[in-house]
Amino acid sequence: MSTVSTPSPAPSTIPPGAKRPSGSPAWNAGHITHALDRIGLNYFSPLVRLAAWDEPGKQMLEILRNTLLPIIAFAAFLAFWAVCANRIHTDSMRIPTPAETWQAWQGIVEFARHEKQNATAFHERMEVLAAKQDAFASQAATELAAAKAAGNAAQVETLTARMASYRQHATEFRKHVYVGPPTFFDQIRVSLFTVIIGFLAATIIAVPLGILCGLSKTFNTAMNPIIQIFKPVSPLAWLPIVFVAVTALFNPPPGETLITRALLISAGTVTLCSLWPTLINTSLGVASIDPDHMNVARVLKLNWLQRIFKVVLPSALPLIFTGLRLSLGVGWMVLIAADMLAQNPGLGKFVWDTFQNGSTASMAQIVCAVFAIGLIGFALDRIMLILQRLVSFDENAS
Amino acid sequence: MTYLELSGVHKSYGSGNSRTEVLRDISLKVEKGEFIAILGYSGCGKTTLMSLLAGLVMPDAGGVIHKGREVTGPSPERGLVFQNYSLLPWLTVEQNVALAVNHLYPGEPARKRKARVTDALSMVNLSAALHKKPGELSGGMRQRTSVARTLAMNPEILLLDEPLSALDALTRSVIQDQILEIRDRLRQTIILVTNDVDEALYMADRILPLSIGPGATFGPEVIVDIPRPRSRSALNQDERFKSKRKQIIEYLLEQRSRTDTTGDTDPVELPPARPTDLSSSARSIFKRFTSSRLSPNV
Repeated sequence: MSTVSTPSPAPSTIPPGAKRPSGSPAWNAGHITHALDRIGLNYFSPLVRLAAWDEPGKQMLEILRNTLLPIIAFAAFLAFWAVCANRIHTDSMRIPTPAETWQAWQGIVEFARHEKQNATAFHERMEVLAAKQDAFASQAATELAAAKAAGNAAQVETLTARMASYRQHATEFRKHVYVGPPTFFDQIRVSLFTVIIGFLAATIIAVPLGILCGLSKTFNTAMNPIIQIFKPVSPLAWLPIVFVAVTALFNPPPGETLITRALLISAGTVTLCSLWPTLINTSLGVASIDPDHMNVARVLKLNWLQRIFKVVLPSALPLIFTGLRLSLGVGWMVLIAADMLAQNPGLGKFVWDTFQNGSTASMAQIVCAVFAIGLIGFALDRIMLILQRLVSFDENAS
Repeated sequence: MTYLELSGVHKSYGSGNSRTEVLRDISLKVEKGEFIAILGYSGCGKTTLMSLLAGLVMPDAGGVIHKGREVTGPSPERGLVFQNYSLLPWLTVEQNVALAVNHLYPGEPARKRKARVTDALSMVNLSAALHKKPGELSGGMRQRTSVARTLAMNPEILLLDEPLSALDALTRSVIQDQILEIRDRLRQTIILVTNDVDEALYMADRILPLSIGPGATFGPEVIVDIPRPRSRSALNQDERFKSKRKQIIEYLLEQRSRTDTTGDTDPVELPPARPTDLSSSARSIFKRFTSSRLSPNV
């Protein structure tokens, strides 16, 4: 109890373990637990309530249950994995043990750190070279000033040209980019970038179409076969089609660009696979709008656009976000396969390339990638859950 | 010229074999400033009648005439307070009212529009709950918000569609008095639909009982000539009040007994609901199953 600071007049009168009388806590744990609840982190609520000394015995038990049980389950999983790892193998490859996987992870981190050092060293070297060129340039500048004072036109011309060329060299040195092998974290970044592009494109297509489907029965009837047929198509089947479309329509300038063909092919496949949940949920959300709310809009004589933006969209928003959350989940799953086939330098390509290496060490790296893919997917889902809860309202309150 | 008139209104829903007539030959004349109560059982077509008055649905025959012109659609002149509040749950109390005000008075300066919102909310004593969402309010507060939204539209006619039916008795009486106060101040014409005889007698000038549907129509009207302000406790002793109450209740009971005997609604056939005896063996269950199949009257 001594860890809890409280300005209440007589904290010692509260027996340990008793519920603090309402009104006396120094801060309201309710607000924090409510906020945690909203963002889907209610795992931490007992910790907060324990800190506020609200039924501490119960909170301890809750923490124990929330923490201990998952730990036991995970330990059991690790044991099962370790047993499998020692039994399942081919001539050349074997499922790595948890320990080997951990080592591989450290290797991945070490490699990334090493590459970062290489990059810094490279840029430092370039900076030294550039500084040298700068020094030449400023020397040329002083000579140029002297030549100008002397009125030597020919010398002025050569010195100006020389100075310009030194400056150009300097900027070129500074522009050089370190081209090393992509690290695991670079590949994660590429994957995230790709999935976000694909997901945004899916949203831009699916939300308006879903609104139209929800508003108009005719449109919905027309669209229904297309939706039902294309919804279950695997990303692997879409990929060749997207490949042709992107190759025909997108000709990037040569050299390094942010958006490459491979990235667009991956993102396009993600779009085609992930737009359906958003489309279906949006149309459901719009179609199931409370008829009383539409009557309110009619009594207020809102016009078509006002109805959509003031009544229909806000009312459908919770379901739209449910759809978006599902879409992002699908998109992330599809992306790994798309990356593999499109050779987009993301996590999928990492898995495939590493697999082609074909050693037990590379299998361990693949298991690391599996965990990374899972954790990132989990994080994306949580982010969408928070957004979903932010736009939701009490459905029974109308 | 009558201020508001329903003349020979018929309304049916559905089509073909499933067509049901809801309202039959409804006629009503309302003077400006009158308080009319329409009384009837739930499901007898009261909400349909209100929707007709509001212009949300169109009659199959006959028409609604307001100030000499036929009603062809909803209008803020006839402010409808919905039975189930119909507040937009993602907006706060203030925003719900402001949605109506901003839309109906777009030309007014923001300050004046804001004043309309706060005026309407203070009329129903909700100034303290401006920034709450409907989900955080009690039923009574939600209905008051809904009333405030309608009042902010500055309607000539207030259409109250069972506004208090979902509220507890105490909250009901509070809001009844608030509505009467508002009427004293603003002098609108009010049409109240209710299933509460006492509420109708306490509030209205004239009561029209509706017969039980399908094909509901008005019964004999009752004029409540008890002077205002009326006091709840005094009413209970008032002989005129008692006799009118008796008159209405008798009409409504007679309606019910009529439908009970004529069997207007088809008696629904219930599936046999005899529980299977699970303690007996599977074989005997099978036997019973087959025997009951053979004799359907078991």
